[in-house]
Parts: sequence; C-alpha cells; structure tokens
Amino acid sequence: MKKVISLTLSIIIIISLFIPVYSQDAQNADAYKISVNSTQLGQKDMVLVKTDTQYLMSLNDILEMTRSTRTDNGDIIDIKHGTREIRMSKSLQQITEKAAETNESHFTIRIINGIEFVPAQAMLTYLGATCTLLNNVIQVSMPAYTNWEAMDFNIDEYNLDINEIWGSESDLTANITCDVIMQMIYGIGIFGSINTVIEDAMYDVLNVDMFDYDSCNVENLKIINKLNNSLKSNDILVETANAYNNLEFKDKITKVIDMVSDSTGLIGENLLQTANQTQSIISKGELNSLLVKSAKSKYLCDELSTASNYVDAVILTADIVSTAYTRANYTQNTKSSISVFESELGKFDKNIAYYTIANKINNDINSKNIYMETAIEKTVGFYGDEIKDKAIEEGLALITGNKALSFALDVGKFVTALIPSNANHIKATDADLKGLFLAELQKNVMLTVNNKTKDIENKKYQNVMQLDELKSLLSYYVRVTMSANDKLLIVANSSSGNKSYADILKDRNEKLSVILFKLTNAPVQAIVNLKGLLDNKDIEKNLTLNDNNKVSTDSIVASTSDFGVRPVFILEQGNSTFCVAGLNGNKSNIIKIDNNTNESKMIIDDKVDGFILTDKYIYYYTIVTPSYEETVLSYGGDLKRSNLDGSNIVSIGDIRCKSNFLIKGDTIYYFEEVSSDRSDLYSCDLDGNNKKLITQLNGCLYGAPIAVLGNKLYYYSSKSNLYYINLSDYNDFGIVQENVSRFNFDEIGAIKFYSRNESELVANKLVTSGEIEKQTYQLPQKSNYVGIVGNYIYYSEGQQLVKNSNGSFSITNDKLFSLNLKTQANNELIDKYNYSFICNQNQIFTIENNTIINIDTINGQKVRGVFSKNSSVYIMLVQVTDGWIYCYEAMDGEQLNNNLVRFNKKSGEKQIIGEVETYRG
Amino acid sequence: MKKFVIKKKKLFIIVAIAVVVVCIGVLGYFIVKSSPPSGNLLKSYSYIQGDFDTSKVHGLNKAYMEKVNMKFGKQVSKHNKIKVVSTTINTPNMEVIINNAVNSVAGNIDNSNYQEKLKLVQTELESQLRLDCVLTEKTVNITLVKEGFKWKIVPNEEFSNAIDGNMANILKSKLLQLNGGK
Repeated sequence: MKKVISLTLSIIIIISLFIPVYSQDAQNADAYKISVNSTQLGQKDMVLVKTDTQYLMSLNDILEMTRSTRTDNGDIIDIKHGTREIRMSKSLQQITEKAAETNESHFTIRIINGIEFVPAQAMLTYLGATCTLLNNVIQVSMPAYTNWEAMDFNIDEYNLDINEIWGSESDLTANITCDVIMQMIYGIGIFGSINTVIEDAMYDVLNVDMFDYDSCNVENLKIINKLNNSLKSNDILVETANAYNNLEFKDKITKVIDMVSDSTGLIGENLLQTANQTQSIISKGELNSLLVKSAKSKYLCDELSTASNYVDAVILTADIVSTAYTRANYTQNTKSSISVFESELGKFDKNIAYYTIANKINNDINSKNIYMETAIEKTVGFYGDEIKDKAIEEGLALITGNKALSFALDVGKFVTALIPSNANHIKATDADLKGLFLAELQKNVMLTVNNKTKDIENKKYQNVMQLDELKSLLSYYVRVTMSANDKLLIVANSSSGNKSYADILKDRNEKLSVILFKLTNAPVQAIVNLKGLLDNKDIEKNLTLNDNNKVSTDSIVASTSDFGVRPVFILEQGNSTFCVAGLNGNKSNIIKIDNNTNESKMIIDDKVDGFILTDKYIYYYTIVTPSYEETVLSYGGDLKRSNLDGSNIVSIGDIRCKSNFLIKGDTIYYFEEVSSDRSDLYSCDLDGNNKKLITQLNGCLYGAPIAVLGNKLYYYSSKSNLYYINLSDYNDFGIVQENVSRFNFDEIGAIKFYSRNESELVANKLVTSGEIEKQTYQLPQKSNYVGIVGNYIYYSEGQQLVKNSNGSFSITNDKLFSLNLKTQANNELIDKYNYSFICNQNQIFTIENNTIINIDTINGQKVRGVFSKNSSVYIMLVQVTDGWIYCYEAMDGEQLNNNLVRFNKKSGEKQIIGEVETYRG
Repeated sequence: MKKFVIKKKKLFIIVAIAVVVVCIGVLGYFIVKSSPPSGNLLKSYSYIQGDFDTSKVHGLNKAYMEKVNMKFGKQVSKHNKIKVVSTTINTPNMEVIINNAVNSVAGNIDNSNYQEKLKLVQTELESQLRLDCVLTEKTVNITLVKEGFKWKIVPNEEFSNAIDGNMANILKSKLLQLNGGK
C-alpha cells in the first residue's frame, strides 16, 4: 500500500512539474472600472483587478501609457522601452531585466480572457511613469521623452568614416598619410596653428543650433500640440474659468496652472522637472506671473471677458514657456556637454590636443559671466506677432534670466569673439581640416561614451549622476557629428565635391537634430528597485473602489493596443510624407515628400486606393476598373508590397483585395469580392501565405475590416452595418449595430460610430472593455449630420446644389451649427460653408469663403481663419495631420488640374505637393 | 733692476690676459646658461614657452623630435626682454619619409584593415626616423623672451612651420588630393 501511495505521489509530482503554473483566471479577484488620466492617453476608463494583496492593471494599458512595446514568444513577453529590455515569464510569474539585475520571481501576472494583468503602480513606475491620485482619478505622468527613449538611436549609423567621406579606395594612401600626420601633430603638441584649427572647430561644435533644422522644430511643435491637446481635452481651463469666476484674473490663472500641473503632468513633470534637472529653480509663482504677463500682453486686458480669450491666453503662454525652457535647457546642456567630455577624456590622456583644448574652452566658458538672452530672443522670434508686448519678455526673463539660469551663456556671441584669425595658411582647406579634426574628435567622444557606458553597466543603471553624464556625452557626440557634417557639406557642395553625398549629410543632420532635441528634453531617470516599488501601496490605500463600478471579469477584452493598422490616404513618417495622388481612375500614385525640402517624388506608379506603412514596407491595394463590356461593377485589385522607397513591388500571394484591408500583428485581414452581392473575409500572413477563409458576407457589395479587439474582428459593410466575428472559433458572430451612418476612431483607437433615425442621432462608442456606450441627441429635422468632436456635434442645415462658373456642380451648405453635448445648446458657426470638413482628435477645420477655418473643440467657436485664400481658388479639404492640413485647390474653371497642397497649421505656410488630375471625392 | 721691471710687466700682462679670459669664460657661461641650448627638439622642450611635458612623448613622436636639430646663431635684434635669434633648424624630410613608409606598407589598403595598416605605417616611419634619414635645413628668425634668467622660445607660426618637417604642407596637399585636386 505504501508503495502504491508513494508511486502515485511520485507520478503526481512528476506530472505537476510539466504543468505550466499559470495564474488562475480571475480567482479571488474583483474587477472595477476606474478612471485613469495619463499624459499619453488622456482620461479614459480602464479595468483594475483587485486581488487579496494587489491592484492589477492590463499590461497592454500600462505599456501604452509608458510608450513601451511587447513581443511575445510563447510563454515569454519581451518588453522594450527605449533602450531598456525587460522579460516576463507567465508560467514562472517572473520579471527580469538583465542590465539592472532585476529578478523578481514572485511577480504577479494574472491572465483573464487571454489578457495579462500585472501590479499597476509598481509596473507603471518601473517603466518611468509617475503615479498620483487626484479626486480618485489615477494620474499617470510620463515625461515628453525618457532618457531611455532619447538614447535609443543607432550611434554607428552616424559615425564618420573617413574613407566614405573623402574618397574612393584609390585615395586611401592620402587618407593614411593625413592620419599619420595628424597623430604626429597631436603628439608633438606645439603646433599652435594646428591647435588653433582644432580649437576653432571645437567652438563650432558648441555653436550647433538644433533649431536650425526643420525636423527639430516639427518635434517641438509636437510637444506643444500635445500640451495644448492635453489642456483642452481635460476641460480644465473652461471648468476653472467658470469655477473661479469671482477671483481676480491673476488668481484665476494661478488656479488653472495648479490644476493643469497636477492633472496633466505636462507642466508639472515636463517643464518643472526639466527645469529642476538643469538646476534652475522656478516656482509656480514665477510661472503664474509669466502667464499673467503673457495673457495681458496678448489680449491687453486685465479681465478676459470670454472663455475663448481666456483659453487662448493660457495655451499660448504654456507654449511659450515650453519653448523657452527647451531653449534654455539646450544652452545649459551645451555647457555641460563640453564640461563632461573634458573630464571624461582627461581620464584617458591629458596630453592629447582635444583634452587640452576642451579644458581651455571649459575654463573660458566658466570664467565668463555672459548671461543668456538667446532663449528669450529666439522664443520671441519664434512666436513673432503673437507676442505683442514687452511684458512677455519680462515674464520670460523670470525663467531664463539671471535668477533662474544665471550660468547659461550666449555661446554664439561668446564664440564669435574668441575665434582666432591666425589660421590663414590653411584657410583654403579650412572646412576639410575641421571636418577631419571633428571626425577624429568624434572617435574620442565615442571612447568616453563607451567608457561611461561600462561604468553605468557596472552600477546596474542605478546611478543618476552617471546617466546624466552619459546623456551629456551623447549630446556632445551628436553636436560634434552635426558640426562635422556641416563642414563636410561645404566640401560636398564645392565645385569638385560629391554632390550626392550632400543629401545624405543633410538627412543625417535632420535626424540628429531630433535626437538632440529629445536628449535635451529628457529628464534623467535611473532604473529603480522593483522590489521596493512592489511594497509601495500608496494608490491602493487611498483609491476608493465603488461597487457600482464593478464589472464582470468575463467582460474584459483586450486593450486598445490590439487595434490593427488601416490603410489611409496620407501618412507622415519621420521626415517624409506619403500620399496618394492622381486619382482620376486611370492612375493613382504614391508620392513621397521630403518634409525638409518639400521635394516630392512619385515612388509607386499604380492604381493605389489605400496603403499602410510598416517599418520596412508599403502595403497597398489597387483599384481595377472593368471595361464597359463586362457585367460586373468592379473587381478587387491586387494587394501589393514594396520597399519604403517604392522599389521591389511584389503582389502578396494571390489576393484580390476588394476594399480596405487591415494589418494586425503579423496577420492581414481583407475581403475578396466573389459576386455582386457576396464578399468573403480572409486572413493571411504578411507574405500572403497561409490564406484562411473567415466568413462570407452575403447580400453586400463589399466589406471592410475595421479593428481587432481582443479575440474579435469588427468589420463594416456596404449595408451600413457593423459586424463582429470571434477569431478563435469563427462561430461567435453577429451585428454590433445597424444603420451606422459613419464611424471613426478617437485618439486612443476606440471605435466611434453613429446611427441616425430621423432627427435622432445616436452616438456609440465601442470601448476597450467591449461595451458600447450610447448617447442620443436631438437634431433639427432637416439637419445634415457632419461629425462629433470633443464636446460638440457639428451639423449643417440647408443644402443646395450650385453650378460653378466652369459648368461643374458642387454642394453648398448654408449654415454650420454646433450642438453642445452637455447643455444641448445650439450655436450658429458659419453662415455659408463649403461641403468640406475634416478633423483629427481634437482639431476641426472647415472652409468659409475659401478660407480654412479652425474651430475650437472646447467652446465650439471659430478660432481663426489663418489659411486665407484667394477667392478664385477652389479648396477642398482632404486630411489633417499633426503638422499640416492637406487639401486640393484649383483655379476656378480649371477643376481638372487641381493641386494637392498643404498648409502648415501653425504658420499657415503653403506647400504645393503636386498636380493631380481630379480630386478624390 | 731693469730686467725685473720687464718681468713684472710681463706678469701683469699675463695676469691681465688671464683675468680677461676668465671674465670671458664666466660671461660666456652666463650667456650659454640663459639661452636655449642648441640640440634636438626634445631637449629644447623646456625652453619653449608653455607647459610641455616631454616625459610622455614616446614612439614615433619621440623619434621625430630627436631628429629635429636646432642651432642658435647670431642675434638679429634685441629689445628689453625680447630678442630675435637667427636659428638653423634641421628636420627630417617628412615628405620623402612618409611617402616611403606609406608606399612600403600601404600597397593593398582596404577599409577592413585600415587601422592595422595605419599602425604598420607608424612603425615603419619610426624605424626610418631612427636611421640616418634625409634631412632638410631651414634658417629662420626665432623670437626669444626672457622669463626670469631664462630665455624662452615663443612658439609662433614661423617656428611651428620650421620644425614641422613640412607636414602642414603635406597635409594640405593630401587634403586637396582627397578633395578632387581642387
């Protein structure tokens, strides 16, 4: 008997070793819907799972809020945030980060409906976020960039190769001669003339201004837009304007800043934290004072009478503060970069020329007492006419003047005075020599970077000071490289230079300017001890969980990060814009625009209807227009793939894609037309292989996959229905909503769709939990629904067909109204407007009298008509992106020769992208 | 008596000559002590104005500096604590030496072994410099400034060009070659 028992126990033990120790699904756990306000996603509802000991949150939500990504490989989840790499094992309930020696073997990973839940506060903080609680809403703040993100660039890509720069293989003996001589000259060390050139070149490094590059300015605008959107989306400004009506303007602004700072993290974490990093002390009082001054200067009044003025004043000020800080920090970083380089290089060899000169420059800078006006001057210049009063300069002085940044220097002015003039005997080759010396200097900087990295690795990324020094060295590396590229650009552009190399150098410097911008703006964080974080229960102690917000764990579905990518008409990626143009039915090409030079190049000559960009490829599908003899209305076109430069076009498998396709992970979802009333939904891999039939859609001309949420795929049909199908078994399927008039995606990817029944409009939102939120609004009988953005519905009344002077027809709507979703108040916005209306996230643009009008989504009012047009030009809006509004325009009477143009949202600058034969509509 | 007078006179002359010789010797000693000594560049380092440490000069640079010979000649002008001295400087003919070294080693340079070849060229150069290499001679006026009891060389551009073995010009011509012969 004992043998039997022991044998049984042994078998059980052995078998148990092979059973994965996955956490039990939803055992001893309650799920709650809670409100989370994050700098990344704005305010949204999320699911929080409460176990006996911990509060858990979806890993995907946490990754989204901390700008981290994941790669799954069976039981293993590899998480990446910038340069950090973290690994989780679901079966072992373990989290490890090799570089930091993090190894927690009791890390809770609970899996509910296939979704991983992990300790909320600990994981968010571990990945760099700051978590606080305000009015029972969890506030999750991420800096604009973390140091891990800022440092995440391939440094090898920018290393200067002397052979690549100066010549072919046949010139290598000349190169080697130059290298030998330079090393001798360094070693001998008394060649004043050569040292002078090196010194001159090293001062040039300090003179590199990242704001000279368009890409950097675009990045700055992104931060400002994010700040503005965050201010607007939280309704803080309007709420405080009303709530503190009885206060003096100054006090009112103070309240706003307090609230904005606390709840968005942008001013609080980004601006103030950055300021503290540079040891510049700025109090909220000073910030408030600046706000008041700028608001007064802009609007020249003590009491802002309308909410619109009030909001604009605060937003403008926040923008100015943000830009001024960046510039001030940049100057400070300039100074610290040479200082750290000098100190680190001295550890290797104090006899080489670079150390001697770095030491001299560092001493020169520190011994001078020149205060920086540059930040103020340049910021004022950047905003131009928007700053109308000297008062704002006084305000800016509060944060950039001697009180806060007394050590900051106007490096530009300083250097001009110091540049020596006794290098004449080599003046003819000045640029070459400097380039050569800077290439050599770059190697020395790399030496210090590598050494510092080793130190940091030894300290397991826990020493903030070392990380700060590494950031300074990397900044210096970028500056040296940019300066060298500038010199080499002169060589390349000379009469005998290699002109093709000039483009490469320009492109590199554009990219480097963004890297420098990120390094400048990234506060330094060390990797914190995860064990300590797991013991921190601040949020759990203070967060009140309401039973009314309890949700069934069965209803939990995947996060918004599970949405796929859908084809679009215009996409901006890095310094390039991709768009489809030439839509006359015969050709529709993909054009690639260089955002720096505005040069456009047709890269795909085909009949493109929509495309998707991935890291390496362009996926697109084509339209096939059948001949008149054929009985069918249209065929689906081929799904094709090319490299990002349009080369190597191949058809993906044997796929005839009828309409929009969807890429989710490594799967493509698409419809193929079988007959005039049937389309079949398929999936395949990214190479077009492993084709699988998912379902048949009968009685519809076409279908279009919309999104994958959890295990469900949502798709839309020509019958205006929104459907779903469960991808795990294909048996669970149905209609989500009939009579969907239109749908779009909000900024976090949730599906918004609208159904219409006479005057009643129902707005639906499919939220991440899989539930549909509905809200009904009453609209006038004859209204023509346009769209919902922010707190307003925009609709028109009175539509008529008008004949243009060239004989063509267009639809004109008489009036555009806004309806406040909270108060149901109607407001007439535009008396006559063109039937053209575009929006993205929180911005809306329409047209009045051939002028593009921006509508404020917070108060529903017209903000400004900055993009003024000649009345003889016909405009049709196409798409709006972060930086640009795209539209077609044509001289009246020449509608067949439209130009695709774009207007810069901030400056109003117009760029003509290319001619197309007719517009997409 | 007459004979004795003559003897005393002779003695006086001998003594006077001896005093003059000693004075000249002592004066010469002080003159030599307060001027940079002729010799190779490495030895003259402490006489160059600035903070130079020769203890860490080694390898190729040491070989080069030992071959640079400076011989101070007549004084051209003097004003208070500044004087200009005509100096003859012999330097290795680096154009010939470098070309020889590069050509003997760098025959098949490619990107993959560039650094390796660079080191070989440096080694070859060093060994050539240690042999009886070809020298060139230049005579230049060098400015000296008196610091305390010592005359120090002011390392201006003329001085740099004189002792650089024509390397600045070689560098310039090679850069032009790399830049397409502009």
